[in-house]
Amino acid sequence: MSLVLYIAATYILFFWLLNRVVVRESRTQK
Amino acid sequence: MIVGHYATALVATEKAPRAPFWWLLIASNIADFVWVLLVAVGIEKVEPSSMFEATLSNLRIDMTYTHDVLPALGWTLGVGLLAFVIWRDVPTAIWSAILVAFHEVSDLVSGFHHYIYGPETARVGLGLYTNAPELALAIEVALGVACVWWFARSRSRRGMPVSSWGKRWLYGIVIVGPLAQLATARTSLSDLLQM
Repeated sequence: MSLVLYIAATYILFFWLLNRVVVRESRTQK
Repeated sequence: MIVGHYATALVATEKAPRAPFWWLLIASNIADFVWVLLVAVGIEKVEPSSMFEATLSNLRIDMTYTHDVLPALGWTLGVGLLAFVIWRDVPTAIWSAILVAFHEVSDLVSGFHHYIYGPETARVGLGLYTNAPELALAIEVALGVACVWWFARSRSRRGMPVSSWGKRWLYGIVIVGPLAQLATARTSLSDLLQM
C-alpha cells in the first residue's frame, strides 16, 4: 500500500508544480 | 511515465486555450489517477505493494480497466464527451480526448505491457519498464523536453514568451522527474539503503 501512496503523492506534487508554473506564466502575460 | 504524460498538457493548452490547464493535466493522466483509486480499493493490483521493495523492472501490474486498449478507447471517448458537456468547446473536447489516447500510446511505447482487454487477450506494447527501464525514462525525458520546447515556441510566436524563470522550472521538472526514478529502476529502496 505504501507504493500506491508514494505514487499518488508524486502525481500530486508534479501536478501542483506544473500548474503553478503555467498559471503564473499565463498571468504575467495578461 | 508521470511527468511525461503531464507534459503533453503543455501542447494541449496551446491548442485548446479555453480549457483550464488543471483539467488538461487531469486528462493527460486520468488513466493513472483511476488506476491508483482502483488499486486502493483492491480492483486492480500492483506487486510488490511496498515502495521499499518496488523497482520499475520488478513491478507486476494489473491495469485491465484503466490501461488495456479497449477500455482506453472508452476512457478517450468518455473524457472527450465529459469535457464537451462541461465547457461546450470543441477544441477542449478534442484535445482532452487526444491527451487520454496519447497516454495509452506513450505507455505502449515506454511503459508496461498492456492487453487488448484482459490477460487472456493479446499482449501489446514494448514493455520497456520491465525490459529496459533506463530507456523508458530516457524516452520520457525526451517527450517532456519536446513538449516544453514546443510550448515555449508556440507562446513566443503568439507574442507571450515564456520567462526564463518559467523555462527553467518547466525543463527542470520534465528532466528531474524521470531521472529521479533512475536509482530505483532496477534496485529497490531497501537494497539501496541496505535495510
